[in-house]
Amino acid sequence: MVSLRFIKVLAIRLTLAILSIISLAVILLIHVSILVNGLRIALLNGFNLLTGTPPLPTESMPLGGVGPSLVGSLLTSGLAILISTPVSIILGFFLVEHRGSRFVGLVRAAFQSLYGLPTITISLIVYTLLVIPMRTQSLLAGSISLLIVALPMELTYFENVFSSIPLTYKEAGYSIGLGRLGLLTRVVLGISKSGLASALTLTLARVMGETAPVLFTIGNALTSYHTSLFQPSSTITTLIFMLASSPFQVQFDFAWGAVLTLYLVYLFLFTASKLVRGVEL
Amino acid sequence: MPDLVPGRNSSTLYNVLVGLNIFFVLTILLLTLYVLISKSSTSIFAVNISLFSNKWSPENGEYGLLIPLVGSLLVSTLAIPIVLIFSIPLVIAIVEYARGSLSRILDVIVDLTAGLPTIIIAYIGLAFLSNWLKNWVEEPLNRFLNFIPLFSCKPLAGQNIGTAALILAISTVPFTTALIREAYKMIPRSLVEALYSIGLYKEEVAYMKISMIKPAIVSAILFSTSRVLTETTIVSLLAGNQFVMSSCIFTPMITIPSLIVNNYGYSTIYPLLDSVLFTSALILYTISLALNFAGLYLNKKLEVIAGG
Repeated sequence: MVSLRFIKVLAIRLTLAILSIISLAVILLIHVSILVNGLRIALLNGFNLLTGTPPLPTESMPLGGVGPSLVGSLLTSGLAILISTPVSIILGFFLVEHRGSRFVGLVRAAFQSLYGLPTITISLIVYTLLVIPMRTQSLLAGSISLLIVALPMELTYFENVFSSIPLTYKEAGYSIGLGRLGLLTRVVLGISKSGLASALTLTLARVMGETAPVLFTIGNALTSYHTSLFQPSSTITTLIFMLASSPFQVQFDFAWGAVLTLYLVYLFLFTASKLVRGVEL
Repeated sequence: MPDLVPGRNSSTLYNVLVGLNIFFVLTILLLTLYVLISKSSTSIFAVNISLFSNKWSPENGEYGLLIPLVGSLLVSTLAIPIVLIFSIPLVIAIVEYARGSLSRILDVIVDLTAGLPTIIIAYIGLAFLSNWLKNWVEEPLNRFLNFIPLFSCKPLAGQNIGTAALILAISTVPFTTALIREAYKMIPRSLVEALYSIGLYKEEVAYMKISMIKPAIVSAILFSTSRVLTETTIVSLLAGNQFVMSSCIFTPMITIPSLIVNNYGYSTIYPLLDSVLFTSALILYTISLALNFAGLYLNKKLEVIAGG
Protein backbone atom coordinates (compact mmCIF):
# COMPACT_ATOMS: atom_id res chain seq x y z
CA MET A 1 0.00 0.00 0.00
CA VAL A 2 1.28 3.44 -0.85
CA SER A 3 1.56 5.62 2.21
CA LEU A 4 0.21 9.16 2.43
CA ARG A 5 3.75 10.33 3.13
CA PHE A 6 4.97 8.89 -0.16
CA ILE A 7 2.16 10.60 -2.07
CA LYS A 8 3.10 13.90 -0.45
CA VAL A 9 6.75 13.41 -1.41
CA LEU A 10 5.73 12.62 -5.00
CA ALA A 11 3.57 15.75 -5.13
CA ILE A 12 6.46 17.89 -3.87
CA ARG A 13 8.83 16.25 -6.35
CA LEU A 14 6.44 17.01 -9.23
CA THR A 15 5.93 20.63 -8.14
CA LEU A 16 9.66 21.17 -7.76
CA ALA A 17 10.29 19.71 -11.20
CA ILE A 18 7.63 21.86 -12.90
CA LEU A 19 8.65 25.12 -11.21
CA SER A 20 12.39 24.66 -11.68
CA ILE A 21 11.95 23.65 -15.32
CA ILE A 22 9.86 26.78 -15.96
CA SER A 23 12.50 29.01 -14.32
CA LEU A 24 15.32 27.39 -16.27
CA ALA A 25 13.34 27.62 -19.50
CA VAL A 26 12.75 31.35 -19.01
CA ILE A 27 16.44 31.92 -18.18
CA LEU A 28 17.50 30.03 -21.31
CA LEU A 29 14.87 31.86 -23.39
CA ILE A 30 16.53 35.17 -22.44
CA HIS A 31 19.96 34.02 -23.63
CA VAL A 32 18.68 32.32 -26.78
CA SER A 33 16.52 35.27 -27.82
CA ILE A 34 19.46 37.68 -27.44
CA LEU A 35 21.68 35.45 -29.56
CA VAL A 36 19.15 34.64 -32.28
CA ASN A 37 17.75 38.15 -32.73
CA GLY A 38 21.08 39.84 -32.16
CA LEU A 39 22.85 37.67 -34.72
CA ARG A 40 20.20 38.57 -37.29
CA ILE A 41 21.16 42.25 -36.94
CA ALA A 42 24.86 41.45 -36.58
CA LEU A 43 24.94 39.41 -39.81
CA LEU A 44 23.09 42.16 -41.63
CA ASN A 45 25.66 44.76 -40.56
CA GLY A 46 28.88 42.81 -40.25
CA PHE A 47 31.80 44.64 -38.69
CA ASN A 48 29.98 47.94 -39.17
CA LEU A 49 27.90 47.06 -36.08
CA LEU A 50 30.89 47.91 -33.90
CA THR A 51 32.00 51.07 -35.71
CA GLY A 52 28.95 52.60 -37.40
CA THR A 53 26.27 54.89 -36.02
CA PRO A 54 22.63 53.92 -35.28
CA PRO A 55 20.07 54.07 -38.14
CA LEU A 56 17.90 57.14 -38.67
CA PRO A 57 14.12 56.72 -38.48
CA THR A 58 13.86 57.28 -42.23
CA GLU A 59 15.90 54.23 -43.19
CA SER A 60 14.11 51.12 -44.34
CA MET A 61 16.55 48.53 -42.96
CA PRO A 62 18.05 48.30 -39.44
CA LEU A 63 21.50 49.15 -40.79
CA GLY A 64 24.08 50.84 -38.61
CA GLY A 65 26.33 50.38 -35.62
CA VAL A 66 26.86 51.18 -31.99
CA GLY A 67 30.38 52.63 -32.30
CA PRO A 68 30.14 55.93 -30.38
CA SER A 69 28.11 54.37 -27.58
CA LEU A 70 30.50 51.41 -27.30
CA VAL A 71 33.42 53.80 -26.91
CA GLY A 72 31.41 55.83 -24.38
CA SER A 73 30.59 52.69 -22.38
CA LEU A 74 34.20 51.55 -22.29
CA LEU A 75 35.54 54.99 -21.37
CA THR A 76 33.02 55.80 -18.62
CA SER A 77 33.14 52.44 -16.88
CA GLY A 78 36.91 52.18 -17.39
CA LEU A 79 37.46 55.57 -15.76
CA ALA A 80 35.08 54.73 -12.91
CA ILE A 81 36.94 51.48 -12.18
CA LEU A 82 40.31 53.22 -12.49
CA ILE A 83 39.34 55.50 -9.61
CA SER A 84 37.42 53.00 -7.52
CA THR A 85 40.04 50.22 -7.58
CA PRO A 86 42.85 51.88 -5.55
CA VAL A 87 40.29 53.24 -3.08
CA SER A 88 38.75 49.79 -2.69
CA ILE A 89 42.15 48.10 -2.24
CA ILE A 90 43.20 50.40 0.58
CA LEU A 91 39.83 50.58 2.31
CA GLY A 92 39.12 46.86 1.82
CA PHE A 93 42.43 46.06 3.53
CA PHE A 94 41.69 48.63 6.22
CA LEU A 95 38.23 47.18 6.94
CA VAL A 96 39.65 43.66 7.29
CA GLU A 97 42.76 44.57 9.30
CA HIS A 98 40.96 46.72 11.85
CA ARG A 99 37.82 44.62 12.06
CA GLY A 100 35.91 45.10 15.28
CA SER A 101 36.77 48.73 15.95
CA ARG A 102 33.93 51.21 16.17
CA PHE A 103 35.44 53.50 13.56
CA VAL A 104 35.52 50.65 11.03
CA GLY A 105 31.86 50.05 11.75
CA LEU A 106 31.20 53.69 10.90
CA VAL A 107 33.14 53.54 7.62
CA ARG A 108 31.33 50.35 6.69
CA ALA A 109 27.97 51.95 7.43
CA ALA A 110 28.94 54.83 5.10
CA PHE A 111 29.63 52.36 2.31
CA GLN A 112 26.46 50.44 2.87
CA SER A 113 24.53 53.69 2.72
CA LEU A 114 26.06 54.36 -0.69
CA TYR A 115 25.12 50.80 -1.72
CA GLY A 116 21.48 51.47 -0.90
CA LEU A 117 21.34 54.53 -3.12
CA PRO A 118 18.82 53.85 -5.92
CA THR A 119 20.68 54.20 -9.22
CA ILE A 120 18.20 56.71 -10.65
CA THR A 121 18.87 58.91 -7.61
CA ILE A 122 22.58 58.89 -8.45
CA SER A 123 21.65 60.31 -11.83
CA LEU A 124 19.67 63.15 -10.23
CA ILE A 125 22.47 63.98 -7.80
CA VAL A 126 25.32 63.99 -10.30
CA TYR A 127 23.15 66.06 -12.63
CA THR A 128 22.80 68.67 -9.90
CA LEU A 129 26.44 68.58 -8.81
CA LEU A 130 28.20 68.37 -12.16
CA VAL A 131 25.96 68.77 -15.19
CA ILE A 132 24.34 72.04 -14.10
CA PRO A 133 27.62 73.80 -13.12
CA MET A 134 29.37 72.49 -16.27
CA ARG A 135 26.35 73.43 -18.41
CA THR A 136 26.66 70.19 -20.34
CA GLN A 137 26.21 66.50 -19.91
CA SER A 138 29.57 64.84 -20.25
CA LEU A 139 31.68 61.72 -20.20
CA LEU A 140 33.06 62.94 -16.87
CA ALA A 141 29.62 63.22 -15.28
CA GLY A 142 28.80 59.72 -16.57
CA SER A 143 32.01 58.35 -15.08
CA ILE A 144 31.33 59.94 -11.70
CA SER A 145 27.82 58.44 -11.69
CA LEU A 146 29.27 55.01 -12.40
CA LEU A 147 31.98 55.57 -9.78
CA ILE A 148 29.29 55.95 -7.13
CA VAL A 149 27.83 52.62 -8.27
CA ALA A 150 31.22 50.90 -8.50
CA LEU A 151 32.77 51.99 -5.18
CA PRO A 152 30.59 50.16 -2.66
CA MET A 153 30.26 47.16 -4.97
CA GLU A 154 33.99 46.72 -5.55
CA LEU A 155 34.82 47.37 -1.90
CA THR A 156 32.45 44.61 -0.79
CA TYR A 157 34.05 42.18 -3.24
CA PHE A 158 37.58 43.19 -2.20
CA GLU A 159 36.79 42.93 1.49
CA ASN A 160 35.65 39.34 0.92
CA VAL A 161 38.85 38.57 -0.98
CA PHE A 162 41.06 40.05 1.74
CA SER A 163 39.24 38.32 4.57
CA SER A 164 39.75 34.93 2.91
CA ILE A 165 43.54 35.21 3.28
CA PRO A 166 44.72 32.86 6.05
CA LEU A 167 45.98 34.65 9.14
CA THR A 168 49.28 32.73 9.09
CA TYR A 169 50.42 34.59 5.96
CA LYS A 170 49.77 37.94 7.61
CA GLU A 171 51.53 36.83 10.80
CA ALA A 172 54.52 35.73 8.76
CA GLY A 173 54.60 39.16 7.13
CA TYR A 174 54.42 41.02 10.43
CA SER A 175 57.06 38.70 11.94
CA ILE A 176 59.67 39.74 9.39
CA GLY A 177 59.11 43.34 10.32
CA LEU A 178 56.69 44.61 7.69
CA GLY A 179 54.40 47.49 8.55
CA ARG A 180 50.76 47.52 7.42
CA LEU A 181 51.59 49.12 4.09
CA GLY A 182 54.44 46.65 3.54
CA LEU A 183 52.11 43.78 4.39
CA LEU A 184 49.54 45.07 1.92
CA THR A 185 51.93 45.63 -0.99
CA ARG A 186 54.31 42.69 -0.49
CA VAL A 187 52.18 39.93 0.96
CA VAL A 188 48.46 40.51 0.69
CA LEU A 189 48.32 41.86 -2.88
CA GLY A 190 50.53 38.98 -4.08
CA ILE A 191 48.34 36.32 -2.52
CA SER A 192 45.05 37.87 -3.54
CA LYS A 193 45.87 39.17 -7.01
CA SER A 194 43.74 36.64 -8.87
CA GLY A 195 40.84 37.19 -6.48
CA LEU A 196 41.15 40.94 -6.88
CA ALA A 197 41.41 40.70 -10.67
CA SER A 198 38.30 38.55 -10.73
CA ALA A 199 36.40 40.98 -8.49
CA LEU A 200 37.55 43.95 -10.56
CA THR A 201 36.37 42.34 -13.81
CA LEU A 202 33.03 41.46 -12.27
CA THR A 203 32.55 45.03 -11.05
CA LEU A 204 33.41 46.32 -14.51
CA ALA A 205 30.86 43.95 -16.03
CA ARG A 206 28.14 45.04 -13.60
CA VAL A 207 28.93 48.74 -13.93
CA MET A 208 28.95 48.67 -17.71
CA GLY A 209 25.41 47.26 -17.65
CA GLU A 210 24.01 50.15 -15.60
CA THR A 211 21.50 52.43 -17.30
CA ALA A 212 19.80 54.60 -14.71
CA PRO A 213 22.89 56.28 -13.18
CA VAL A 214 24.04 57.65 -16.54
CA LEU A 215 20.59 58.38 -17.96
CA PHE A 216 20.66 62.14 -17.20
CA THR A 217 24.39 62.62 -16.91
CA ILE A 218 26.17 61.28 -19.97
CA GLY A 219 24.19 62.94 -22.70
CA ASN A 220 22.81 61.66 -25.93
CA ALA A 221 25.66 61.83 -28.47
CA LEU A 222 24.80 58.74 -30.48
CA THR A 223 26.30 59.63 -33.80
CA SER A 224 29.66 61.24 -33.15
CA TYR A 225 32.79 60.01 -31.44
CA HIS A 226 33.53 62.29 -28.51
CA THR A 227 36.47 61.34 -26.38
CA SER A 228 36.94 64.58 -24.48
CA LEU A 229 35.91 64.23 -20.84
CA PHE A 230 33.91 67.43 -21.02
CA GLN A 231 31.78 66.59 -24.04
CA PRO A 232 28.51 64.64 -24.08
CA SER A 233 28.70 60.99 -25.01
CA SER A 234 26.42 57.95 -24.62
CA THR A 235 26.67 54.38 -23.42
CA ILE A 236 25.30 51.21 -24.99
CA THR A 237 22.76 51.01 -22.19
CA THR A 238 21.39 54.51 -22.80
CA LEU A 239 21.43 53.76 -26.53
CA ILE A 240 19.26 50.67 -25.96
CA PHE A 241 16.96 52.72 -23.73
CA MET A 242 16.62 55.36 -26.42
CA LEU A 243 16.05 52.83 -29.22
CA ALA A 244 13.58 50.86 -27.11
CA SER A 245 11.50 54.01 -26.58
CA SER A 246 11.65 54.89 -30.29
CA PRO A 247 8.35 54.82 -32.17
CA PHE A 248 10.16 53.84 -35.38
CA GLN A 249 10.29 50.11 -36.10
CA VAL A 250 13.72 50.35 -37.75
CA GLN A 251 15.30 51.84 -34.66
CA PHE A 252 13.44 49.53 -32.30
CA ASP A 253 14.55 46.50 -34.28
CA PHE A 254 18.15 47.70 -34.49
CA ALA A 255 18.30 47.69 -30.66
CA TRP A 256 18.81 43.89 -30.87
CA GLY A 257 22.25 44.65 -32.32
CA ALA A 258 23.09 46.91 -29.40
CA VAL A 259 21.69 44.31 -26.98
CA LEU A 260 23.92 41.63 -28.53
CA THR A 261 27.01 43.87 -28.30
CA LEU A 262 26.37 44.65 -24.64
CA TYR A 263 25.66 40.96 -23.97
CA LEU A 264 28.92 39.86 -25.59
CA VAL A 265 30.99 42.43 -23.70
CA TYR A 266 29.30 41.33 -20.46
CA LEU A 267 29.82 37.65 -21.32
CA PHE A 268 33.50 38.28 -22.05
CA LEU A 269 34.07 40.08 -18.74
CA PHE A 270 32.07 37.49 -16.80
CA THR A 271 34.05 34.61 -18.34
CA ALA A 272 37.32 36.43 -17.73
CA SER A 273 36.41 36.92 -14.08
CA LYS A 274 35.61 33.19 -13.70
CA LEU A 275 38.80 32.11 -15.51
CA VAL A 276 41.03 34.39 -13.44
CA ARG A 277 39.63 32.94 -10.27
CA GLY A 278 40.46 29.49 -11.62
CA VAL A 279 44.19 30.12 -11.29
CA GLU A 280 43.98 31.20 -7.67
CA LEU A 281 46.53 29.81 -5.23
CA MET B 1 46.74 43.89 15.66
CA PRO B 2 49.65 46.13 16.73
CA ASP B 3 52.66 46.80 14.53
CA LEU B 4 55.29 44.45 15.90
CA VAL B 5 58.26 46.31 14.49
CA PRO B 6 58.16 50.08 14.39
CA GLY B 7 58.35 51.00 10.70
CA ARG B 8 57.34 54.52 11.45
CA ASN B 9 57.57 56.05 7.98
CA SER B 10 55.58 53.39 6.20
CA SER B 11 52.95 53.32 8.91
CA THR B 12 52.50 57.10 8.65
CA LEU B 13 52.09 56.75 4.90
CA TYR B 14 49.56 53.99 5.49
CA ASN B 15 47.56 56.16 7.88
CA VAL B 16 47.62 59.06 5.44
CA LEU B 17 46.45 56.84 2.57
CA VAL B 18 43.64 55.34 4.63
CA GLY B 19 42.63 58.76 5.90
CA LEU B 20 42.54 60.27 2.40
CA ASN B 21 40.43 57.45 1.04
CA ILE B 22 37.97 57.54 3.90
CA PHE B 23 37.71 61.29 3.39
CA PHE B 24 37.03 60.72 -0.32
CA VAL B 25 34.22 58.27 0.31
CA LEU B 26 32.68 60.29 3.12
CA THR B 27 32.75 63.38 0.89
CA ILE B 28 30.83 61.53 -1.81
CA LEU B 29 28.28 60.28 0.73
CA LEU B 30 27.84 63.65 2.42
CA LEU B 31 27.53 65.53 -0.87
CA THR B 32 24.95 62.99 -1.99
CA LEU B 33 22.93 63.36 1.19
CA TYR B 34 23.28 67.13 1.13
CA VAL B 35 21.93 67.41 -2.42
CA LEU B 36 19.08 64.99 -1.70
CA ILE B 37 17.98 66.73 1.47
CA SER B 38 18.51 70.35 0.44
CA LYS B 39 16.78 69.85 -2.91
CA SER B 40 13.81 68.01 -1.49
CA SER B 41 13.32 70.34 1.49
CA THR B 42 11.87 73.05 -0.79
CA SER B 43 8.89 70.91 -1.65
CA ILE B 44 8.60 69.22 1.75
CA PHE B 45 8.24 72.60 3.46
CA ALA B 46 6.17 74.22 0.71
CA VAL B 47 2.82 75.09 2.23
CA ASN B 48 0.62 75.13 -0.84
CA ILE B 49 1.18 71.60 -2.09
CA SER B 50 0.27 68.25 -0.67
CA LEU B 51 2.83 65.56 -1.51
CA PHE B 52 0.65 62.67 -0.42
CA SER B 53 -2.39 63.44 -2.48
CA ASN B 54 -3.33 61.40 -5.50
CA LYS B 55 -3.45 64.35 -7.89
CA TRP B 56 -0.56 64.98 -10.27
CA SER B 57 -0.67 67.93 -12.61
CA PRO B 58 2.42 70.14 -12.48
CA GLU B 59 0.71 72.78 -14.64
CA ASN B 60 -1.84 73.31 -11.83
CA GLY B 61 0.77 73.05 -9.10
CA GLU B 62 -0.44 69.63 -7.94
CA TYR B 63 2.33 67.20 -7.09
CA GLY B 64 0.80 64.22 -5.31
CA LEU B 65 3.26 61.36 -4.96
CA LEU B 66 0.74 58.85 -3.65
CA ILE B 67 0.11 57.09 -6.95
CA PRO B 68 3.78 56.51 -7.86
CA LEU B 69 4.49 55.39 -4.30
CA VAL B 70 1.61 52.91 -4.39
CA GLY B 71 2.78 51.80 -7.84
CA SER B 72 6.29 51.12 -6.55
CA LEU B 73 5.04 49.20 -3.53
CA LEU B 74 2.49 47.29 -5.62
CA VAL B 75 5.02 46.21 -8.22
CA SER B 76 7.33 44.88 -5.48
CA THR B 77 4.53 43.15 -3.60
CA LEU B 78 3.50 41.40 -6.81
CA ALA B 79 6.99 40.50 -7.97
CA ILE B 80 8.56 39.11 -4.80
CA PRO B 81 6.16 36.17 -4.21
CA ILE B 82 6.63 35.16 -7.87
CA VAL B 83 10.40 35.36 -7.40
CA LEU B 84 10.24 33.07 -4.35
CA ILE B 85 7.92 30.54 -5.97
CA PHE B 86 10.45 30.04 -8.73
CA SER B 87 13.81 30.59 -7.07
CA ILE B 88 13.49 28.21 -4.10
CA PRO B 89 12.64 25.21 -6.34
CA LEU B 90 15.49 26.23 -8.64
CA VAL B 91 17.94 26.19 -5.70
CA ILE B 92 16.75 22.73 -4.67
CA ALA B 93 16.95 21.46 -8.25
CA ILE B 94 20.50 22.75 -8.72
CA VAL B 95 21.86 21.52 -5.41
CA GLU B 96 19.91 18.32 -4.80
CA TYR B 97 18.99 16.92 -8.20
CA ALA B 98 21.65 18.10 -10.65
CA ARG B 99 24.90 16.20 -10.28
CA GLY B 100 28.54 16.97 -11.01
CA SER B 101 29.19 19.09 -14.05
CA LEU B 102 25.49 19.76 -14.74
CA SER B 103 25.18 21.35 -11.31
CA ARG B 104 28.27 23.47 -11.95
CA ILE B 105 27.00 24.59 -15.37
CA LEU B 106 23.63 25.55 -13.88
CA ASP B 107 25.42 27.49 -11.14
CA VAL B 108 27.33 29.47 -13.76
CA ILE B 109 24.19 30.12 -15.84
CA VAL B 110 22.36 31.42 -12.77
CA ASP B 111 25.30 33.70 -11.83
CA LEU B 112 25.62 34.90 -15.42
CA THR B 113 21.93 35.75 -15.66
CA ALA B 114 21.85 37.35 -12.20
CA GLY B 115 24.28 40.04 -13.34
CA LEU B 116 22.79 40.55 -16.80
CA PRO B 117 22.14 44.26 -17.44
CA THR B 118 18.46 44.89 -16.67
CA ILE B 119 18.10 47.07 -19.75
CA ILE B 120 18.51 43.86 -21.81
CA ILE B 121 15.66 42.17 -19.94
CA ALA B 122 13.58 45.35 -20.26
CA TYR B 123 14.15 45.38 -24.02
CA ILE B 124 13.30 41.68 -24.38
CA GLY B 125 10.19 42.40 -22.34
CA LEU B 126 9.18 45.16 -24.69
CA ALA B 127 10.13 43.27 -27.86
CA PHE B 128 8.06 40.13 -27.31
CA LEU B 129 7.78 38.93 -23.70
CA SER B 130 5.11 41.48 -22.71
CA ASN B 131 2.87 40.34 -25.57
CA TRP B 132 3.40 36.68 -24.70
CA LEU B 133 2.57 37.35 -21.08
CA LYS B 134 -0.53 39.31 -22.11
CA ASN B 135 -1.76 36.52 -24.38
CA TRP B 136 -0.78 33.48 -22.32
CA VAL B 137 -0.93 34.65 -18.70
CA GLU B 138 -2.90 37.85 -18.28
CA GLU B 139 -5.82 37.19 -20.64
CA PRO B 140 -6.47 33.66 -19.28
CA LEU B 141 -6.30 35.01 -15.72
CA ASN B 142 -8.81 37.70 -16.65
CA ARG B 143 -11.08 35.22 -18.47
CA PHE B 144 -11.22 32.56 -15.76
CA LEU B 145 -10.61 34.45 -12.53
CA ASN B 146 -12.21 37.84 -13.19
CA PHE B 147 -14.26 37.59 -9.98
CA ILE B 148 -10.97 38.36 -8.17
CA PRO B 149 -10.54 42.16 -8.16
CA LEU B 150 -6.83 41.87 -9.06
CA PHE B 151 -7.69 40.26 -12.39
CA SER B 152 -11.00 42.03 -13.02
CA CYS B 153 -10.03 44.22 -15.98
CA LYS B 154 -9.05 43.15 -19.46
CA PRO B 155 -5.39 43.84 -20.29
CA LEU B 156 -5.59 46.33 -23.15
CA ALA B 157 -1.88 46.58 -23.89
CA GLY B 158 1.19 44.58 -22.95
CA GLN B 159 2.39 47.46 -20.81
CA ASN B 160 0.80 47.43 -17.37
CA ILE B 161 1.78 47.04 -13.76
CA GLY B 162 1.26 43.25 -13.86
CA THR B 163 3.59 42.84 -16.84
CA ALA B 164 6.20 45.04 -15.18
CA ALA B 165 5.98 42.89 -12.04
CA LEU B 166 6.30 39.66 -14.03
CA ILE B 167 9.31 40.89 -15.98
CA LEU B 168 10.91 42.30 -12.84
CA ALA B 169 10.35 38.87 -11.31
CA ILE B 170 12.04 37.21 -14.28
CA SER B 171 15.04 39.50 -13.94
CA THR B 172 15.24 38.94 -10.17
CA VAL B 173 14.83 35.13 -10.00
CA PRO B 174 18.51 34.38 -10.82
CA PHE B 175 19.70 37.02 -8.31
CA THR B 176 17.54 35.62 -5.49
CA THR B 177 18.44 32.06 -6.47
CA ALA B 178 22.14 32.88 -6.14
CA LEU B 179 21.61 34.46 -2.70
CA ILE B 180 19.54 31.57 -1.33
CA ARG B 181 21.86 28.97 -2.90
CA GLU B 182 24.88 30.28 -1.00
CA ALA B 183 23.07 29.94 2.33
CA TYR B 184 21.67 26.52 1.35
CA LYS B 185 25.15 25.21 0.59
CA MET B 186 26.45 26.52 3.93
CA ILE B 187 24.41 23.99 5.93
CA PRO B 188 26.93 21.60 7.55
CA ARG B 189 27.19 18.19 5.94
CA SER B 190 26.85 16.41 9.26
CA LEU B 191 23.36 17.86 9.74
CA VAL B 192 22.29 16.73 6.28
CA GLU B 193 23.68 13.25 6.93
CA ALA B 194 21.78 13.12 10.20
CA LEU B 195 18.56 13.95 8.33
CA TYR B 196 19.14 11.20 5.79
CA SER B 197 20.09 8.73 8.53
CA ILE B 198 16.60 8.86 10.03
CA GLY B 199 15.23 7.70 6.69
CA LEU B 200 13.87 10.91 5.17
CA TYR B 201 13.21 11.30 1.47
CA LYS B 202 15.30 13.81 -0.45
CA GLU B 203 12.31 16.18 -0.68
CA GLU B 204 11.79 16.03 3.07
CA VAL B 205 15.48 16.76 3.64
CA ALA B 206 15.22 19.72 1.25
CA TYR B 207 12.18 20.98 3.16
CA MET B 208 14.10 20.73 6.45
CA LYS B 209 17.12 22.50 4.94
CA ILE B 210 14.96 25.34 3.60
CA SER B 211 13.40 25.81 7.04
CA MET B 212 16.91 25.89 8.57
CA ILE B 213 17.93 28.86 6.42
CA LYS B 214 14.79 30.94 7.00
CA PRO B 215 16.76 34.02 8.14
CA ALA B 216 18.80 33.84 4.92
CA ILE B 217 15.62 33.62 2.87
CA VAL B 218 14.15 36.62 4.65
CA SER B 219 17.35 38.58 4.02
CA ALA B 220 17.27 37.49 0.35
CA ILE B 221 13.67 38.75 0.20
CA LEU B 222 14.76 42.11 1.64
CA PHE B 223 17.66 42.51 -0.80
CA SER B 224 15.48 41.44 -3.73
CA THR B 225 12.71 43.84 -2.70
CA SER B 226 15.23 46.67 -2.59
CA ARG B 227 16.46 45.68 -6.05
CA VAL B 228 12.94 45.48 -7.47
CA LEU B 229 11.86 48.74 -5.84
CA THR B 230 14.79 50.74 -7.23
CA GLU B 231 14.89 49.11 -10.67
CA THR B 232 14.36 51.82 -13.25
CA THR B 233 14.55 50.63 -16.82
CA ILE B 234 12.09 47.74 -16.62
CA VAL B 235 9.34 49.78 -14.95
CA SER B 236 9.81 52.86 -17.09
CA LEU B 237 9.55 50.81 -20.29
CA LEU B 238 6.90 48.31 -19.18
CA ALA B 239 4.61 49.64 -16.44
CA GLY B 240 2.67 51.90 -18.79
CA ASN B 241 3.26 55.09 -16.77
CA GLN B 242 -0.28 56.35 -16.17
CA PHE B 243 -1.44 58.24 -13.11
CA VAL B 244 -4.15 55.77 -12.31
CA MET B 245 -4.90 53.90 -9.13
CA SER B 246 -6.77 50.68 -9.57
CA SER B 247 -7.18 47.39 -7.77
CA CYS B 248 -6.75 45.59 -11.07
CA ILE B 249 -3.16 44.72 -11.91
CA PHE B 250 -3.67 44.89 -15.68
CA THR B 251 -3.90 48.69 -15.53
CA PRO B 252 -0.97 50.84 -16.66
CA MET B 253 0.49 52.56 -13.59
CA ILE B 254 3.49 54.67 -12.70
CA THR B 255 6.25 54.02 -10.13
CA ILE B 256 8.73 56.40 -8.49
CA PRO B 257 11.73 55.54 -10.73
CA SER B 258 9.63 55.91 -13.87
CA LEU B 259 8.14 59.16 -12.54
CA ILE B 260 11.68 60.54 -12.27
CA VAL B 261 12.70 59.29 -15.72
CA ASN B 262 9.59 60.67 -17.39
CA ASN B 263 9.47 64.06 -15.68
CA TYR B 264 13.02 65.17 -15.08
CA GLY B 265 13.18 66.66 -18.54
CA TYR B 266 10.39 69.11 -17.62
CA SER B 267 11.90 70.12 -14.30
CA THR B 268 12.97 73.51 -15.58
CA ILE B 269 9.45 74.36 -16.74
CA TYR B 270 7.52 73.87 -13.50
CA PRO B 271 8.82 75.62 -10.38
CA LEU B 272 8.56 72.85 -7.81
CA LEU B 273 8.90 69.78 -10.01
CA ASP B 274 12.64 69.43 -9.51
CA SER B 275 12.30 69.47 -5.75
CA VAL B 276 9.31 67.10 -5.78
CA LEU B 277 11.27 64.57 -7.83
CA PHE B 278 14.11 64.78 -5.31
CA THR B 279 11.59 64.15 -2.53
CA SER B 280 10.35 61.06 -4.34
CA ALA B 281 13.99 59.93 -4.69
CA LEU B 282 14.51 60.52 -0.99
CA ILE B 283 11.48 58.38 -0.13
CA LEU B 284 12.81 55.61 -2.36
CA TYR B 285 16.28 55.86 -0.80
CA THR B 286 14.88 55.67 2.72
CA ILE B 287 12.90 52.52 1.96
CA SER B 288 15.80 50.89 0.12
CA LEU B 289 18.26 51.76 2.89
CA ALA B 290 15.98 50.27 5.55
CA LEU B 291 15.59 47.07 3.51
CA ASN B 292 19.34 46.76 2.92
CA PHE B 293 20.32 47.31 6.53
CA ALA B 294 17.67 44.87 7.74
CA GLY B 295 19.01 42.31 5.26
CA LEU B 296 22.60 42.83 6.39
CA TYR B 297 21.56 42.52 10.04
CA LEU B 298 19.84 39.20 9.35
CA ASN B 299 22.87 37.95 7.42
CA LYS B 300 25.10 38.76 10.36
CA LYS B 301 22.77 36.82 12.62
CA LEU B 302 22.91 33.87 10.26
CA GLU B 303 26.72 33.94 10.29
CA VAL B 304 26.59 33.65 14.06
CA ILE B 305 24.28 30.64 13.78
CA ALA B 306 26.44 28.95 11.13
CA GLY B 307 29.64 29.73 13.03
CA GLY B 308 28.30 28.54 16.37
